Amino acid sequence: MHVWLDIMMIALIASTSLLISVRFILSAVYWLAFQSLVLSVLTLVFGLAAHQSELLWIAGLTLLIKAMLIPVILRRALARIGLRRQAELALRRETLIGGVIAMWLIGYYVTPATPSLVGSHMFLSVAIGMLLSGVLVMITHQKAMMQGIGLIVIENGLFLAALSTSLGMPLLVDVGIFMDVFVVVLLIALLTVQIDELFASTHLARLRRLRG
Amino acid sequence: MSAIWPFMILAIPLVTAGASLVPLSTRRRLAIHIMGLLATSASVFALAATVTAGGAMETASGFFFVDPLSAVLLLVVTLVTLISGLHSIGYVRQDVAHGELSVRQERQYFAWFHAFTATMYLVLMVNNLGITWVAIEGTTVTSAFLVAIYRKAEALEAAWKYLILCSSGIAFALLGLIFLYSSAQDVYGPGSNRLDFTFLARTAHALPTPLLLTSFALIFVGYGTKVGLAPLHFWLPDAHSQAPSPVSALLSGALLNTALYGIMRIVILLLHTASEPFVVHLSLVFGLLSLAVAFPFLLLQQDIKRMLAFSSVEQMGILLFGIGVGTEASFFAVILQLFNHAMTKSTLFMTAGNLVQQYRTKQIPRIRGVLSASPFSGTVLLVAGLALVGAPPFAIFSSELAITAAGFAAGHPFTTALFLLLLAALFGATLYQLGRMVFGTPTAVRMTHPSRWTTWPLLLPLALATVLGVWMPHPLSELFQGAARVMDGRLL
Repeated sequence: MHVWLDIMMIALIASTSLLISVRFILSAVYWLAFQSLVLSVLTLVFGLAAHQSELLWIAGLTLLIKAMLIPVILRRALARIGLRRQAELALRRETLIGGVIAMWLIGYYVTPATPSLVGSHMFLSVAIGMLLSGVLVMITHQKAMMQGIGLIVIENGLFLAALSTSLGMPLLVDVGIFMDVFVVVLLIALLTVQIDELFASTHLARLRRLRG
Repeated sequence: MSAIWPFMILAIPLVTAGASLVPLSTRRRLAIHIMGLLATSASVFALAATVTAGGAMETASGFFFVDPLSAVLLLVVTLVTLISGLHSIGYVRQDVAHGELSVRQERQYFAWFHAFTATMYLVLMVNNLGITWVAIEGTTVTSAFLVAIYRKAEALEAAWKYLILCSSGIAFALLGLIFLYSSAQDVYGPGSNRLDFTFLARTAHALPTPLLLTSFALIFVGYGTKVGLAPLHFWLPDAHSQAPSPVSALLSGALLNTALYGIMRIVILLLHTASEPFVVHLSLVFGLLSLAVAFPFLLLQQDIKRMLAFSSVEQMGILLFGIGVGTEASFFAVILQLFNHAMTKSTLFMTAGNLVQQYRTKQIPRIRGVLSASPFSGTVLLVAGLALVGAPPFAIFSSELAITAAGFAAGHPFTTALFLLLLAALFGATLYQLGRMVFGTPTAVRMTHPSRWTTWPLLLPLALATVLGVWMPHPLSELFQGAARVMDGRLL
């Protein structure tokens, strides 16, 4: 049992780290879907271990919305502007890998070593690490959609934080958050396509008209 | 009977939003829009009257919680919505006539307009702080559609920055709430009400202080992004300047206050606990910083709507400073300031919208002689401007004076002196900018207002801001005092 929890934790760390350094935006969408899938399974395991039926619903919603619907929407938006769009970094890839490692270390050191309700206390560290890595994606990437993907990584980190510290937020709050994330993704997809039509690029350096 | 109002206040705007999308004749859609606005306002007034008479109320088995503080904010939101909604009719009609918006976009505009107001009402009426977060994030997504509505390069850029900055900022607030929730569960055991304001208000003092401080700092930064506190304000001038002017009025007069309400609720939990000094200092410092950052941008600004947006950064700084002073006198002043700022700033944004449509430019140097070109707009600009900067006899004069006096009395002589200095500087800068437009020889020929919808509604907030300076109706002052007591943690 605990071995599998550890494997899922490593899967989360690996998918987040790989997502930051992808070459094509489409790969990042796939890694995001994989990460959400792992989160959904993890929620299911937590729910079964703690006998919380609410968590089973949330696991289902995570699977449906985060692991399936959101990647499909992002992929469709990418298909409109070209599936082979490359991610562009503001930093060199080596620097970025150092940055990701720093994020995981910060996550490890800022979280107190209190045992979590299920499994190991490392999940909160991983959650903070994911949150910070999401911020790192948003800062270092130059393409509009990658910023949106960074935002969803942040949301996934928050989801894991709530899951590991208090077995998720109250059901109604979690459902509300899912709705928000869903609309945010719709808006990201819509704006990315419109920005691409108008600027003939989704490079954020083009978005420099408003100053002062 | 009173239990029905919160449901109505959410249902009416949502139904109106849905009905706005139905392809009906212009007349019918207009009727639906106006009826929706009036019915929502009437429900809000009924709810506020109930709360004024009977105090805080919980309905729907504790899902909704409305106390005098939320009632004041509800009144502010509904007044700004009503005026902005009426103004929108003429404004959007003009944009459609000029070909800036298509008829389909017009329908979307009204749908998002009402959906946006519904999310703001939800923020102000729910008990669970987690749902408050969901609703505040909801205000971001619904209003982002409105900011992007022109689909021009600048509008898309503004909407993108707005969505990304506010959503990532507010994520930190959620982390703070997660910590709050888990520490409440650690101390009091699992329970569905562990994030309810009514529960935490009674129990927060017993939660471990380090966790409370961490939560507060995260929530403060998260919601502070949405309030537009410097240095987290970068989205604000962009979104305010690119949105249609009635929406700018809503953003400044209603949305910023709604986000500030999120901070206020957490402040209430932490006042009179061991965490109070931290809350006080953080609020005072960020308040002053917002004033200091707003000054140069406001003084040198050439774009009329960006100038007004920086004035909103300033005003949010004043409100936060007043919250940081932390006495009942300063809380009352904060409520008064908040109400009057909402009225005057929304008037100014809508007048700016009229001017931009007539002069066909947002550049302040090209908008000259408004008073002689259009006596109505010129007078409104002048009166609302004086009311905004806090010239006597307007209410903001007395509220700013009261915050200053409370600051000295609470033992913050240096910070309050600095606050006063910055206020004086911003007073001058705002009047200078407005004076450039009001006086001088007109750059445009004498204008006629294309639609009465864009002018008459402005008289309501202007009248309120003028009257409240010299006389305050008894029920309103009672409600304001109730809100101040809530903020002081005395009505729990």
